[in-house]
Amino acid sequence: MQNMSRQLDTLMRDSTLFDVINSGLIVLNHKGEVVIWNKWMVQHSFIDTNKALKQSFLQLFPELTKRLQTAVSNALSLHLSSIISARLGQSVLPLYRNE
Amino acid sequence: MSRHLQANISDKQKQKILYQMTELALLESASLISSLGHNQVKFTVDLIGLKNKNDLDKLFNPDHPDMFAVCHQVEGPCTGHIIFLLEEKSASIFTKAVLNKKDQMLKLSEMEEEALVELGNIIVNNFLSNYVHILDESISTDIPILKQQKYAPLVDELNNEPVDKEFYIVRFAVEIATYNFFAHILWFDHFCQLDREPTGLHKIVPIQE
Repeated sequence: MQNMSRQLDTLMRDSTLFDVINSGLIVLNHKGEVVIWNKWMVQHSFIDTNKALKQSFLQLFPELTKRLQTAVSNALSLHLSSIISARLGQSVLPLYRNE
Repeated sequence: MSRHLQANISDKQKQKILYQMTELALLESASLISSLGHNQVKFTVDLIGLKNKNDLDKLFNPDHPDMFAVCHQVEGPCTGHIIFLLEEKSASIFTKAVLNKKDQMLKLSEMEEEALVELGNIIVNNFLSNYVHILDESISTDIPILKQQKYAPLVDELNNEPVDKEFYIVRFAVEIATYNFFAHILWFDHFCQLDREPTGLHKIVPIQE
């Protein structure tokens, strides 16, 4: 757990690196709280970093699909990886393109 | 649990545990896939057994050896693989029926392959979450990868031990739209090395034998 905490600290320190990624990146801690919320996410969710950080992911998006809720819960409590694509017709998160 | 309380469990007991896990995992998977896709899907357990490479030609159709496998590497007290496996034609029918695609092309597009990986991931994760709850064991998995291969070399690759090493297989019938076919879950190493009584069997609904 200490090792994980150190890794999280390093991640947060280097978080500006994630802002140059042209994809959305969200990192949650073991309690399901947001610890990384990159610039792409700010631009496409219209949720500011300050509002997102330390918020419970499930509270941030209360209308998450059951599939995503299960995937997050599987990852946090059971350490199971999931793939969720938009191929099955699901809108994974309410994200918007800034025209 | 202290070591002296641990008991070796027989193959029959493992199969019973696996049967209970399978029933539950398939029920949960069918419900989720039906809600995500365009057609209701029903899974029914057909066969559960401990097999080895010599049984492959009896389990699968040697005339149609090309398979799609959604492979998950499992790390934990024992490492191994769990895969969702089905014939190429069945993979095509399953994916296109879930996506409500009307074309009869055998080949899957890149998007359809992505959907197949997600479908396999849903089914395997339901197996593994029941496994963790029943055995109270900590494991982790990597992101699944899709392999398209003939069944014999695929089993060789995942079973990177002697050729006669055994693995558990679950074969289940899939009903979707007007189609019926079989799909499989293969467990390499992990479940085979189970050597203690499960602690969480009370957490699942008992079934009729």
